Amino acid sequence: MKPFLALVKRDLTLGLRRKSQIYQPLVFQLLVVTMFPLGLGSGARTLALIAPAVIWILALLASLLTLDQIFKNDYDDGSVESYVLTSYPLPLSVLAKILSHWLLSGLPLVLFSPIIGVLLHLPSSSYGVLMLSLLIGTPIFSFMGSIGSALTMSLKHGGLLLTILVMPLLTPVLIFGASAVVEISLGNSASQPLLLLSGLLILSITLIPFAAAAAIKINLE
Amino acid sequence: MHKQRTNALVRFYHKLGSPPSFYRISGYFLKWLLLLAIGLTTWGLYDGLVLAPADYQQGDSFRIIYVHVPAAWMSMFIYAVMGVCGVIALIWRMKIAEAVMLASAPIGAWFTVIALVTGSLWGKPMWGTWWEWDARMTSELILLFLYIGIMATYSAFSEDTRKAARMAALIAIVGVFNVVIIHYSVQWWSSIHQGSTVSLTGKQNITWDMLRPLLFMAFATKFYYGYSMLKRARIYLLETESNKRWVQDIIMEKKS
Amino acid sequence: MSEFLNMGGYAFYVWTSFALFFLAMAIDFISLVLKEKSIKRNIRSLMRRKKNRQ
Repeated sequence: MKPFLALVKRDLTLGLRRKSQIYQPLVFQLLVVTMFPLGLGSGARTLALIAPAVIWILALLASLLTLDQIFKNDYDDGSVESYVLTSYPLPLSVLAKILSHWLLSGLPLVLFSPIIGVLLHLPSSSYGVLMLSLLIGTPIFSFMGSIGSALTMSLKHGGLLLTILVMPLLTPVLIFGASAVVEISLGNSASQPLLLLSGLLILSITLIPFAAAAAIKINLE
Repeated sequence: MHKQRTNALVRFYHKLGSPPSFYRISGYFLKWLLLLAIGLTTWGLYDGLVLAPADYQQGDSFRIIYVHVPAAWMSMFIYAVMGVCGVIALIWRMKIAEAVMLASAPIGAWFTVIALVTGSLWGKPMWGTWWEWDARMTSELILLFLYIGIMATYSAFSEDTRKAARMAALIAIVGVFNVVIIHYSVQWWSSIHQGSTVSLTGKQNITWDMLRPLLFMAFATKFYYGYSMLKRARIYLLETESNKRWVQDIIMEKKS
Repeated sequence: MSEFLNMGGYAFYVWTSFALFFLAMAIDFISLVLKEKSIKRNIRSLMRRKKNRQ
């Protein structure tokens, strides 16, 4: 337990020192969401119709901005090698890195989402499901991103490759997450997509750390 | 007697796993694979374009299935082959598995593109639009991204081909899981968004005269895949073993 | 014959589909042939350079 918490604590300490890194994705969301009424017209009904999907897509895009940071900084200063060389299981170290990444980038997205919802006239009944779906979905973004980050951490210009690799992995999350908010805004039950989303999260927790660990080991060969 | 049989099997496995043997053995098959591919394609297309009766609902446009469906089948079959090779390449570090996996990617991507483009060309007279986000087409498009991802991964690690191949293998394995999840999630999504219930092969009862050319084309595309994949695998082996004696002997033999 | 080429009015769609299929296979085939030639050429010149250095 102790190495796990130590790793998370270290990453949080480092992350909180550079607060701008936490705000950037949120500012990005604000900038982009402004484009929608400017492009579509300010009609409340149109915006409310597309609000669930747009909020989720913005969350996805904002996450993409930060995904490479999961392992890149540690690779550049040699920390990743120490994760591999210690006797502490690599998948658990990976899990710790994913948790700290989510706390620093995914959680702020969840907490910030109601503001985006207000800007897009999201029906008031939907905010609960919106935040719940993002709460379950953003960790999955971090999990999927960890594979891409572990693979591209040694590359100079790995950003585009990371996006290409990670997008198909994020697609099901978007499908279920956006559907949940759409359904609740139509007055239906959002339980089915939320359950499917939770299933994806559990699958990710159990399988992804091993895949990311494999990518790290291959990279360090 | 049992020992003899086991030894032969072990010997065969080792022979197949060694690059020079693979190169030599696959060389024997190349000509036949190409001939079978061309022959079956010729007959299959004649059968499909001339002999098969026109569909009473779709008219002659249904004949597009004779390239669309085999291409779609191959795109999925080849991806599965790449996944299996990826597992073998990562766990047992077999060079042949790496070669087969990487050699399958380009032709697999082509089949995916053909499936998408011919699906669009079939859809226009049927649905009236050049594109429809139904479950199958959407999944096929994402499959194309997965193929591109594998090829992009391999080329990104340009300095170390061994590392590049292993990374590509990992992505191929992750991709197989991903394809299954995407298939079910897209199917779920399209089932709750009614409007995309049109399926390209909605035929329940397909007559033998209409099915037969499809089977010919299915086999034809498999044989061409075999030819293309083995050729590329051999090229990959020549390239990555170029400092070995067996490669140099082969280069010296053929002065063409 | 012209009825065959017309494909019941769907000529463009059917023939374009088949043409693109063959085009894709042809591009794949040609890229194979070119790649094999270039690899063999590269290895041959590598070997020659090694021999000259000895």
